[in-house]
Amino acid sequence: MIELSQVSRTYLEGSTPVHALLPLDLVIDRGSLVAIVGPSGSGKSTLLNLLGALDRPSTGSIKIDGVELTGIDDDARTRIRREKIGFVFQFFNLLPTMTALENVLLPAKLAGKKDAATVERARQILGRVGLSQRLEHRPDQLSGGEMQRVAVARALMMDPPLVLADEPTGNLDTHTGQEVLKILTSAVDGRRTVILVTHDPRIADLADRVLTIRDGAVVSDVRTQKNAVA
Amino acid sequence: MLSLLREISLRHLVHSPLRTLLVLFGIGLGVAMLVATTAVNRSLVGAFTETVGRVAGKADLVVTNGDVGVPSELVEAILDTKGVAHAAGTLEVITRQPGGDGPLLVLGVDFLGDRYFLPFKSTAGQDAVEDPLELINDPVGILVSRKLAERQKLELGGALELVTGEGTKAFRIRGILEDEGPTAAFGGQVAVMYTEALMLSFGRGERVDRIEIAVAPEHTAAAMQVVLQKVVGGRGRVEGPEGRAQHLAGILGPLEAGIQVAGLIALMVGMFLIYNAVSVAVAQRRREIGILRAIGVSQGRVVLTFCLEAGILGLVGGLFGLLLAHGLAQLALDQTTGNVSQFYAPIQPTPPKITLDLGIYGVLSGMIATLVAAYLPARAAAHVDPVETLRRARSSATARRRLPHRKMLFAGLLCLLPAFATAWLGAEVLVLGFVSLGLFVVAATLFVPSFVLIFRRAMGGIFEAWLGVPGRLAVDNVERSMERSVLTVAALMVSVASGVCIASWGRSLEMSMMDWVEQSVPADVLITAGSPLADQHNVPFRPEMMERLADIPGVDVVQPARIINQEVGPLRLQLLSLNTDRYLAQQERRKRKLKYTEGEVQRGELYAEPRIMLSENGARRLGKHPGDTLEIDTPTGRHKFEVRAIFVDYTSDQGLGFIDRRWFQEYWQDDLVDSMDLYLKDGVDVDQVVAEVKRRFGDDRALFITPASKLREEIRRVVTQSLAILKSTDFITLAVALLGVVGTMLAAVIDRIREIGVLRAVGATQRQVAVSVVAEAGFLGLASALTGLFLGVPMGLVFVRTVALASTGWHVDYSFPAAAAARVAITVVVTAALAGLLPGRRAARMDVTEALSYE
Ligand SMILES: Nc1ncnc2c1ncn2[C@@H]1O[C@H](COP(=O)(O)OP(=O)(O)OP(=O)(O)O)[C@@H](O)[C@H]1O
Ligand SMILES: [Mg+2]
Repeated sequence: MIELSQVSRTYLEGSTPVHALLPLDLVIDRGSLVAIVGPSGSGKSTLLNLLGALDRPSTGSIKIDGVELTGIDDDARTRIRREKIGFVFQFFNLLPTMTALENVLLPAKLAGKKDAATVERARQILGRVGLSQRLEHRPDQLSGGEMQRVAVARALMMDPPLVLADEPTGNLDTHTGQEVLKILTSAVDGRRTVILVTHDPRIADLADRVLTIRDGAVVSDVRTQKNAVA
Repeated sequence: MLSLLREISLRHLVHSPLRTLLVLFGIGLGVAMLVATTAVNRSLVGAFTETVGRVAGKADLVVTNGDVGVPSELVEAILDTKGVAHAAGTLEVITRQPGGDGPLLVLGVDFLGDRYFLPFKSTAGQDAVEDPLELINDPVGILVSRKLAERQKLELGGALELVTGEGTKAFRIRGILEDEGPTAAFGGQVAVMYTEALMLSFGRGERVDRIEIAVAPEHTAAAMQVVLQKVVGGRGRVEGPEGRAQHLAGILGPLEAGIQVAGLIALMVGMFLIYNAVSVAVAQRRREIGILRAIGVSQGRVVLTFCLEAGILGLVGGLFGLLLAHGLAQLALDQTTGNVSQFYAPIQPTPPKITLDLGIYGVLSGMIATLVAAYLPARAAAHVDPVETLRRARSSATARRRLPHRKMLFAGLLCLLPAFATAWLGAEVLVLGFVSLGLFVVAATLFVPSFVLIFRRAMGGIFEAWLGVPGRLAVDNVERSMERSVLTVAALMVSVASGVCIASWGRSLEMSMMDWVEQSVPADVLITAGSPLADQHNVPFRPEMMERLADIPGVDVVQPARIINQEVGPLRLQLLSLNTDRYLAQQERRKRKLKYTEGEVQRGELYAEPRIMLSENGARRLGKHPGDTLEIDTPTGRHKFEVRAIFVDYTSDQGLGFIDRRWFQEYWQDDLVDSMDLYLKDGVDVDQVVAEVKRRFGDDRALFITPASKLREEIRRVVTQSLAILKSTDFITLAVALLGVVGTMLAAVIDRIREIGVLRAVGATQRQVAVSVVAEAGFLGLASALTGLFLGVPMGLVFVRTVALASTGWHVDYSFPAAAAARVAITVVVTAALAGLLPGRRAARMDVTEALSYE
């Protein structure tokens, strides 16, 4: 479960404050697929970065599974990212000198895990995203869709309870984008929450909950019927 | 054009102060070294000129004869020559104050003779110059320069203690000289005495160091030179004052070569730093350039803009370099002066001046170097593909430039051929030696890409096993930015190799010299006055000292050694005279042997006839072999010596002649002794004898009593000291490693900001990010250390066998400077890794969200 209370984020552009996110209270349940939509510059990425412990809020507190994210040091937040959160970004997700397999293994290796079981798991995940034939390919030998699938595989590698994706399909054609989305949605299960930022209106159909943000404030919060969580 | 410059250049200069400072410092350092080396050189040459011109302000011609001096009665003969308007003898004694401040120059002036050349006024008290009778009648009367008086709070009528041939002696101050002309020379460490008194106190016979001559108006100096040379005959050399300065300055040759090499390396280093800095600039602005290109800015304009930016940086950096240059020059000069004045000629150079022409030269070189260095990265900027940068969809791996490492390897191998050929052909030819050194550097540089690739393969696993993901990333990134890595490694390699090369020379020289000292100086105790060695600063003893020393219990034999500078043909030879039979007997007794290269000397041979033994370098320069005749001008005219043998000797880089004391006394009319070498009876304790000498002659700090064991130390110290200037290459290595690697890694970090963001997002700690940067820097350092050591060996060999041989004439056996090489190598690795800390920290501290949105 993710809890935000009175979370806001203000950037300083020179000496003028930019209120990217106004104070916000929000609870996101475990095991749901949440879509964040809104016009450009509305604060979607800002919110996602806060949820992902990549950024610190200007005010308020964020808890993931009861663990307070604010006020802990950088190493602790890094550990949380490593173990509890998976990321997929719009582009340039992969390390160019590493193969697909190595990219997927990256979070495990950063955590010091490199046993055979870990490698096997990475292979399996890559197989799940349909890339068992691309294990030893480097990013420059992969297509855009394939790269995003590797990124998704990496996000799932540590089996995190939370996956965050910031416009994961923004750089892909419709068809490829659909494939990537499918993989992401299928990652949602009773334990895992997936939150994605998108401009794609069709995602609303897949999501359990759609948050619309405008000018730094959540202007609508819709829970869809079919999959509502108690 | 200018608007483009303002847009994409100036804004960045202000916004990345660290990078801007780095460039400015890099250029500044290069320019500073270039300017400083020239300034030091000028200062030294100036000091030589001054040494010669000291009193020769008004002289048209000067008569000199090495250290031996010119008989003073020659003054009369010269004055009687038609066409001579004025002539006066001058005597110079270099001595020091007991426990005091470095060398002091005492000028002997004949106040009763021709006063035309007296170029100074005295102020305080009765005017000694105007009314010299009192001074002349006082055998210990002395005039001191105002600077000296002020520095040491000396007062009229007070005492000035000086080291003389008979120990310390107190002189009475009878006047203070205004600081002008010769008095201002020699750093103001100047005093003046009446010639006769000076001769007496310092045991100088009836000889002056110089006779100055003014030619009558209706005659030319050139014509008179010929006439007077006939009058003087073999008793001296008649020259114009400048000719003599050049003669002395020629001695600087070897040193100058070293200084020039240092300047050249500095410039190369500067260019590398500039290249680096502009690369950083391009990396930082890749996207911006992409946009500019997309909206229709031509490639040419992009290149021009970057070059213009570099030019501006070059100008500012150059000016900053001029500020640095002064301090640097002073430092280098201080290092050199002691060494030069101990062994060549006593000098007190004026502080180095950064003159206008030097300033312009420095700034221009800086700007040109900057433009040349900036061109490559600027061109790379122009080739930025607008679509590629704007899309950003692809990883930058596709953009990496591959160096044609195989072709380069092949070209490098081809370079080796002429490199070895010139090394082999060029033994003794300075220019070929430098060519060979250059070719080795080029060859090694061409090998660097292949080496880096192989080394990366070899170390990849090790780095990954040791440091995990950061280690892996480090070596990956080295390969990814090959051009940058190769340049960094090449620059560091050259500086490491230069360090090793110079150290090879030092080490080889030290080893050879130690061996030589062991074999050629068998005495147990050496005694000198004024300086621990018989050099330009020591004050010779009167011969009576010999008997007084022989009386000391335990002393077997006293060997009187006299060593003077003697001009022989074009050479300024060191002439050593000893009681050769005693010397050879002691050699036999101690089972030591001189290293002869041609001929050999038996006991009695040098005594019986005027015969000379020449050092190898001197013989080569004079083109003499055993059996040849060498003519030497002495105070009693020109005398012939038969060359008896050639031997290895490192006393002087100009050459050494070795004769018997008998001939020296006879021909030179000189019975002074520079060094009293004691041979003790078997089983006598050296320390006891030393203590006894001290007891009898006073524990006077003017007397240096050196046991043979200490002599070795002393020689070692002198060798190290004389190579101190070359140590500056260590400093260069450090500077390159530091600045170069900081620049390289800064560029690397900026190139990969997004990637670092991704790393951090998927769970890399700050530490891991920093480690990857530091490890990459360390890897570059390691590669540089290895290639540098590898290149340092042939460079050292060529240097020892060719460059050093050509400039000193010394055949030195090469020995590898293991300790120094290890030191340089470790320095470069550690410094490189440390230099990675700053960019590493910057990478680690980056705001993750900003890094992720960086474009
Ligand atoms: N580092 C920053 N410094 C200053 N302002 C920022 C910074 N990051 C974001 N902003 C501002 O905060 C606001 C919200 O930005 P954010 O990136 O969250 O928008 P977004 O909804 O993700 O837009 P997009 O759909 O274009 O990605 C914007 O006005 C943006 O200009
Ligand atoms: Mg966004």
